[in-house]
Amino acid sequence: MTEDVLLQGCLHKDAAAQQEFYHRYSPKMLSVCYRFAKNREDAEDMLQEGFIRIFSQIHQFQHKGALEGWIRKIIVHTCINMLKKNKKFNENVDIQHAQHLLIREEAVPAIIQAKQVIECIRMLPIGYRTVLNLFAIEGYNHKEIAEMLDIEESTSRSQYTRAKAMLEDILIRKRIMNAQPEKKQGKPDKTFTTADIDQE
Amino acid sequence: MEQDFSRNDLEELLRERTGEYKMYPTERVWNSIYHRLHTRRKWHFIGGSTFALMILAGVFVLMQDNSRPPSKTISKVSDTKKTSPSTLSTHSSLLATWNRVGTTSSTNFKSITRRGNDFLSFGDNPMNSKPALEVYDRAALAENEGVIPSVQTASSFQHADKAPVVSGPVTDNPGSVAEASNRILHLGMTGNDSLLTAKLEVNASALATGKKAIIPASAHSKYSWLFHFQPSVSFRTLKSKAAIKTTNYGFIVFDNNGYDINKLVDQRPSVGFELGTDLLYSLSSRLKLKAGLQFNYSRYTAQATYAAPRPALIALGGPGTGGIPQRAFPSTTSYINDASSTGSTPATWIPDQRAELSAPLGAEFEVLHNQSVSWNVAGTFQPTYILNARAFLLSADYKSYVQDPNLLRRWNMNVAAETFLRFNRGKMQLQVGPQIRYQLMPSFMDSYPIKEHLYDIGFKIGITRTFR
Repeated sequence: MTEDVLLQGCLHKDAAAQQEFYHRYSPKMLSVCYRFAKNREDAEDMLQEGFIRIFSQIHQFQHKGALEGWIRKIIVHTCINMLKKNKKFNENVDIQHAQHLLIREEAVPAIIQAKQVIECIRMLPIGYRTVLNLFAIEGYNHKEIAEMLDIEESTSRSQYTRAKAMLEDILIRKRIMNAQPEKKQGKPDKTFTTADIDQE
Repeated sequence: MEQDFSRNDLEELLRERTGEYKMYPTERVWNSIYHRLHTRRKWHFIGGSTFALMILAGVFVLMQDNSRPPSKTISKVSDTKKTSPSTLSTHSSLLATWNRVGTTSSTNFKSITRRGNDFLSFGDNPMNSKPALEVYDRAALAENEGVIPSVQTASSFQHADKAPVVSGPVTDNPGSVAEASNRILHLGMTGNDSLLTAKLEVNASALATGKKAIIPASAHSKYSWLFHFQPSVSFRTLKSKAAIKTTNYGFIVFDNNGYDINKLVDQRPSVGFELGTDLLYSLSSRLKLKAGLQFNYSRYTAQATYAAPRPALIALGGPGTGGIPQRAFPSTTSYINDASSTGSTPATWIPDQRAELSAPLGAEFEVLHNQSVSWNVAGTFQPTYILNARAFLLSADYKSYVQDPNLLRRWNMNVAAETFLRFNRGKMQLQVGPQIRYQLMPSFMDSYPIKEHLYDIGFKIGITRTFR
């Protein structure tokens, strides 16, 4: 079934088309939700709310960009809205100096490749994780992130800087990326190569 | 520069590694989405309609009871003279025939109408209570007009043939109690819906002394309403036609190959409910007929494993069914029967649910009773229409679950049997007891070889209100 046929079916609220649409896009979108959520159950709740919004707003899709991008945007906004309902999230995301996460070696799951990276992201504090997800992966700029999360733009920047440093630390510990062998003055103290990751 | 490169590289790594990553949600998510997108509105409509019907039925019953026209008329002979013509209400259903012996009479008749079961007893003075209707002052009218007052007010009667009749000769001597005592006023009473019939005999002498001799007959109606609700648990049983085959010699043998089809699926019951109303008619003191309307919601679940779409085949037809071809589903099935799955993917429970509207017809029999409680048994046949269903068929190899609404039987027949205790509480009666309901015809068309029969077991709670 082509994308246009699916869209037409969804516009007419055809259950079979909606199910096909859901099964086509839900696996990728659940991984998006999972990066934002506390656990898999929360991620599925986000996915559910997101798809209900998608089906109810599908007539607003104007074919100006990729359908998947439009779906992803709604899913991300749904995740953020659901996170913002959590008081703990609102407290953490606005803290300039979040408490540094103590990572025990045994706490790092033995996973590989993509899932390994995602699990490492999920080890970050929720405020760091959210900003990192939005900036590094979803491609929002700090101004947009500040508006989405109701924080200052500078807060978003500092959150991202700390999140990135912490994630690098976790990735190095897991040997997903290596510390830069030759440090230069004024350079970041850690970097990685994709070749190293592939070897893992 | 290198710092920027490093940063961009990390972001690229994250995008690359996370962008194509897929996670498969459990079936619960789609079920919830589907439910919220489609079934909720339907359920609201069905539930709201059923509830509205129940409310309307309840209001109708209450109105029947409260708005009943006067059902008892008591005649009283008084010496009070009245000169003004009486008023005859158009709401009255009174037909009076007056056979007068003399030419004049000072006897005035007042007809006082009372409602419900407010039977008058000796010593009651109906004049003390506000009469619902004062019919006429016949004597004064007769005197003024000089005619024999034989009055029929049929034009104002809706049911003249059933209207109460007051008859009796009236003496010239208004004070002659002896003569009056020889006369009987017959008073027949009938409700306007002919449900209620009673006769009273009033002794004229007693009336002359201000006392009424009223012998009420039974005023209880043979009709009553029952409203009931039942939380229930739904099960199903499967039978396969393939288990029975005809040999070359024409014998029918059981070819079960050592298995029961119910053991090839993993299923469990779920909670549903029944809501309805019945009209009961008493054939005798112990036997009542019943007919009504009810809504049933039943569901059960089967364990299955979600899988990517794959082909499935539904076996249809076969010997004796006209050779209906099998139906192939190229890529619509998404569930694998868990009993046949390898167990590598976590299983989920797929709900199978029905919303039905039934018209139960049957009878109930009172086995034992005392003043406050009775033990009854009842049974009904229930022609049933499936309003909405989510039903899965097993594929020919029993490995997949497939949905095909076209194979669902929309009309069906259920039978129900129940036993209950009925507690008398004045006008209301409360009944509680278990009920079992079984679907006689298979859920799917005859051409589908696996016969599914549903049955519900529940605890029925009902309130009966008797017409009076």
